[in-house]
Amino acid sequence: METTPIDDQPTASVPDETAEELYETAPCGYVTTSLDGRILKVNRTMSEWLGYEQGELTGGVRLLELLTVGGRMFYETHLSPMLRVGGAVNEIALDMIRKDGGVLPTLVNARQTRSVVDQPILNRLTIFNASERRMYERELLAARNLLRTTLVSIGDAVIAIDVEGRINFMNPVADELSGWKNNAGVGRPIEEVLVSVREETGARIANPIGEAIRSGVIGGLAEHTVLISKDGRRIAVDDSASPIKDESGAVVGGVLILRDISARREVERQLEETHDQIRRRADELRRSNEDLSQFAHVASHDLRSPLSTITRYVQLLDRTYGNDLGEGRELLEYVSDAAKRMSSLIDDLLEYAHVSAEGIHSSAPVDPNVQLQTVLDNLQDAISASGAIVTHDVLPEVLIDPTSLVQLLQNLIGNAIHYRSADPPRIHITATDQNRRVLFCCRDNGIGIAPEYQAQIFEPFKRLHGSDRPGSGIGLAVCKKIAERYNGRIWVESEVNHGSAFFLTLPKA
Amino acid sequence: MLLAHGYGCDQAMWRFLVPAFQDDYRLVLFDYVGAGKSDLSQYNREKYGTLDGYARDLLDIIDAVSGAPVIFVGHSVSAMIGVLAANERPDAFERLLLLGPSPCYINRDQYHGGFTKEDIDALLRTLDENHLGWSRAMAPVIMRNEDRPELALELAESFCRTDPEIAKHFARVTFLSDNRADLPLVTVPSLILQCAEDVIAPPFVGEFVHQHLRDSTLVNMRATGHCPHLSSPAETVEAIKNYLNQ
Repeated sequence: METTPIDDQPTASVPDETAEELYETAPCGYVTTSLDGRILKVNRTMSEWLGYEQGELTGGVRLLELLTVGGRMFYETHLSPMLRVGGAVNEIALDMIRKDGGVLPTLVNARQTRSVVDQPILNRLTIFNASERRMYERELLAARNLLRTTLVSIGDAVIAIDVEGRINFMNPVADELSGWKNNAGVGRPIEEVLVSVREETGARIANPIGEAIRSGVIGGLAEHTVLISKDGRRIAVDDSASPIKDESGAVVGGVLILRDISARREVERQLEETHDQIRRRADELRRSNEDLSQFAHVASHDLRSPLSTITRYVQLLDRTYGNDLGEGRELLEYVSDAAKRMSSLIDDLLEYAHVSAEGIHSSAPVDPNVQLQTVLDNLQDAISASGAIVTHDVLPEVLIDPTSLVQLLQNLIGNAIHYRSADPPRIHITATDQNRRVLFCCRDNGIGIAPEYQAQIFEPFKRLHGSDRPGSGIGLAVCKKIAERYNGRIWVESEVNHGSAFFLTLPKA
Repeated sequence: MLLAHGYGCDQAMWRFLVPAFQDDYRLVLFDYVGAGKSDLSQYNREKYGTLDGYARDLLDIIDAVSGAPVIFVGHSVSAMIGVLAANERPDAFERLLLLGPSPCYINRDQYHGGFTKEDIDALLRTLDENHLGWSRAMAPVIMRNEDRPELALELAESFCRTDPEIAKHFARVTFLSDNRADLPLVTVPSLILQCAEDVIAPPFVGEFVHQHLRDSTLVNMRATGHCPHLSSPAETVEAIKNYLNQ
């Protein structure tokens, strides 16, 4: 049985096309010009692309009249001289203007035609409609320019190298930092352009980019690296080195970012110096404090023993010869009183020195309401003798050694009773919660303190009153020391004859 | 005779003029830094940020090659570079031969330089697009001449080789410069060769230069375009010889 072959694609027969038809309808533009650029002949494709009748273009029109202004300048400064001197140019990107004003992006090849005696006669141009390619190229160019301006604008030095370690890009900061001006480092091995050494030893350090390329992992310089520039400057630098990988993940080069950290290193150095100074001063201060407490302690002990002797012999004198002394006995009492006073002064001095020498005890939360009760018990005699009324709000827990809290409250309340006015003392204690602290206030209706003395009273052994009031004047100094030990503050607000309010801050539990 | 090439090219553009003068003159040709076979590493954006930087190089060349005053032939932007150098050192110049000079390419008030600032930006874009495929190594190979391979080889070596970034900077410096005020200061006698239909330096500009240059001769040529020494070397040679033999 005979089958008929199915003929999907009939054998194409080349149509009877003349060279003329081929010229006119070829998928590119053909233009022939005189040597000075006047269009002599143009094919149909070209004239159709531009929207002209062929005849309109050959009446003495110059090729550059069909170009944009930028194109005309390029034609006169580049294309035309190149053609004149070299005889041919290829792949020139030019925008042509259509009759309707639209733009036709093209690529142009041009060649001079020469006579048998090798004289140029004509220019022949082949013009390709390259709208899409030119658009891609513009996008590519814009991307390249963006990348370039970005890298150039970056404040850090950027250096890219190939896998052989040769530099293929340096931005202006890299030029400046390395001292290889005008991009002179490009094309050279990285180790030649960037010389880094250890700040302390001056030993040469291998550039981390080599390791980054070998390992494919981002790396950086060791700390305290100094770059030695081509012109001999020493610059403290910090850097990071990253491998550049292509789409398949293969390492094709590396990029190194260098930052000049001289300014930062200088600040660090100054900071370190200042820190050392402060540490030295703190040490000195601590030693001198220790010495002082040690001195106070020793002095107190040494003072106490002759004082005991005096007291004992005064008592012995009184017992043995008291009756014979007559009025002399009164003098003996003065000596005895003075010795007691001195003994009490020594006690205070010891107490003060004790607070100074003490460190902060690890403090558990303490309920001030309990400690206050202890204080009131301790002051029982004074309270009943003066007829004082002591009241208080509910006091929140604080972080302080309980003994210290007793000392604080007892001093404040004791003072309020001591420095009473004619009225019976009324004392009220409040506490306000403040962020991470508690603000205590001990308010009384006593004689008050004149403004000029309000700071003095916290200094040791400063008394505002003579011996008409009991006390050595160490109480508030001790309070201040304790408060400061817990990073707290103590101060007073007062008006003469209108009572005082002592404020005290302590860490909240 | 010192021949200074114009913007967009290098000393290769003098090749049709050289045979006509080489017997009677000692000819000195050179490439500006950034063009031809010049040492690109010597390019300095600051120095070449104005035409004065190029004028200084011109004087250096004159000092290096000649004790006597030179006949200066400057094309396009080189005409103005020559004017600046001649104002700096009039004694170094015997004559200024200016091909297609323009003291200012931008239109300003009553002056029609021929272009606007936007036009210059358009040129820079065109440059960018034509430098797109150029790597530094490829730049010289833009020329090809299969009919005469020996020429192609020579051209590939040297012709119109311009570093893309430098070309753009030079274009900006050239086309945005305004040297109109320098013209009246010139004391060296000069020849102006003005082409017909020159879009870069139109006839109005040639006339302007003529009026502001003392002791200048203006020749309006039949040659068209911006490069008479390339398009009509014979007419150019004749005009120069006529002037020099006066």
